[in-house]
Amino acid sequence: MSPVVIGLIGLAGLFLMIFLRVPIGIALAIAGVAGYASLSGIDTTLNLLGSIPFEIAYNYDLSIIALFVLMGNLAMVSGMSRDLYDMARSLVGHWPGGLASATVVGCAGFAAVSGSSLASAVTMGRVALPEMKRYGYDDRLATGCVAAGGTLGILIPPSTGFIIYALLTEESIGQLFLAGVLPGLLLTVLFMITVLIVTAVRPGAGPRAERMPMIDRLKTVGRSSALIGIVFAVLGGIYFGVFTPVEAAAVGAFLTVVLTVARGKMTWQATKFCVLETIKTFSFVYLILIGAFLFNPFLAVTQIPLKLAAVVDGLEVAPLVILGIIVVAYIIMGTFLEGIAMLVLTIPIVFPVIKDLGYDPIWFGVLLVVVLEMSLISPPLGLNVFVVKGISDGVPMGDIFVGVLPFWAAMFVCAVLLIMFPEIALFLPETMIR
Amino acid sequence: MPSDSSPGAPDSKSVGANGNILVRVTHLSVTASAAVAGVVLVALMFLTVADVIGRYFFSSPLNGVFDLTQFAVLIMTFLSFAYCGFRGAHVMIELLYDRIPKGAQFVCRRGANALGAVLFAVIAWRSVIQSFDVREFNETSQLLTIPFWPFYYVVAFGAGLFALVLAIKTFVDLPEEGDE
Repeated sequence: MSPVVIGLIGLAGLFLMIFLRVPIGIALAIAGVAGYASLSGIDTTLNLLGSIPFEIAYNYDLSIIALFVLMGNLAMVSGMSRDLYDMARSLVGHWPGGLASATVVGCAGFAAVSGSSLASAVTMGRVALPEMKRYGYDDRLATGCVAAGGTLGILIPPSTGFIIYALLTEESIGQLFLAGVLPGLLLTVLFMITVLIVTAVRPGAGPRAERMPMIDRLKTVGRSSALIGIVFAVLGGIYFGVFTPVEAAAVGAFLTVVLTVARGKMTWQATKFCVLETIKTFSFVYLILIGAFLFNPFLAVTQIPLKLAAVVDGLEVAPLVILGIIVVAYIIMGTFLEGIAMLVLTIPIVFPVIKDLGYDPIWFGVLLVVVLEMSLISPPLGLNVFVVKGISDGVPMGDIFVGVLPFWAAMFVCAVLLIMFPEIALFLPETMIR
Repeated sequence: MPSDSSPGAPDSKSVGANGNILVRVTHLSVTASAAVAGVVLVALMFLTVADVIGRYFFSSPLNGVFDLTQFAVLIMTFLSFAYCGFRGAHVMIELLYDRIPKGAQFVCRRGANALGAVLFAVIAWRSVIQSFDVREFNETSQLLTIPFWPFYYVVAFGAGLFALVLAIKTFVDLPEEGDE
């Protein structure tokens, strides 16, 4: 059997295991080890198993995941999501569908301290959903904007998606983070426009809340100022080259600890929760990574990525067409695969093609994360829809999926804009001080 | 997946409480390991902040934070696997699983754990073997020249404990959190 055939068998086995509920990291490792052993022999494989786990875990950049996840968990227990929501509400609450727009803005704010879309949706949803219910918002709009707004968690830095992309492609985490800022703001605005369009079509879906006096608005902004300060310190620090992303993560986590203590929320229970949740998230991400790094040597010896890149190279079509096919493939895959798993499975194959086509790897990382966001709210497995259902007090799943549809379209527009104007992503990383 | 438990919720499912002695001892070791990983995490945060403060305010950065960070990551990952595995928090997809008969599900579930147990047992074994070579060649970290070989035992311990958890789960179902 040729290496390519063995490679294809390995890939088929891998997907079968994954869909049969084998943890993704373990499935990757087993398929990789079995395949590598059949091509390169048992002894080399055993040596690989002795060296790779150490080498992958002895890694400076990986500490970013732990520190930023810790920061996000602290932000969750500190109760600052309430302040963020109050601020956003005082600013845009009196617009048509204002509470939904405020939810989106609150999600964007929370996303700037959390790298997780699920955490953003849950934390902001707990605050925003009861409020929208009180004002008689349509369930579909209310749950839709929470599920969609939450996905900003992986686009607005810090972002677990960018970190994993960076680890797999050896691109700069700092540049990727900065590249996510403007597209994150763009998508936030697109979501708000979506809310305006939805309420223009069905005015009953999102009644206006009362307009707040200027003094109250300033007060709500003041209460969120510490958090906003932390965000600027972290991102500004990376942009102006004051510290590395790892240091930014540690400083951000530390400042969030200070803030949480100052607000009197740093109980023993909260501390334990933050640390253990962080350890758990870190562990599941790392298990997938170790699986990926055991699978990739196998994939490399099958030469599938090289051959595929060569085939694509030989095609007489515009790069844009191939890019379009890749994006559509990701959107489809996103309906049945979990985001991190999708990154880990596809990057080794897709990344060489993208580079061959001459696309900027940082820009592609941003585009990919926007597409991952779409997958988070796509039926049947959109994880954000599931978590929103969990906190929504009995809104049927079908209604939530209908509710996210307009926001899904907004994400698609965002992806198209990114393809048309790569500068949206690349302006900040290109001007950053290194 | 990161679970949906509410902030500050106590570690309510004391899984080992009414299990047999092996499960209880494992639960204890797993929790203790996770606690050590947690302490390392908090220490890493303070260490890095101290380094930044030292550099900008006293122009004397701490020596070797780069090395220590890498060791910290290594310890955190390997001491947390078993905890994550014990609580069933590793990412799984149920696309086909949900569509096959109960009996086949049982075989898949237990089989996955058995495969994982073998894999991590081999990783533990090979890490020990590797530590001999690393010791012989006297490999150390860059700045502080801390020898690598003892840390291969951290890898071996973490992988071994994870293998044990998976082996137990090959024979009994432990209660899992958040079946999304």
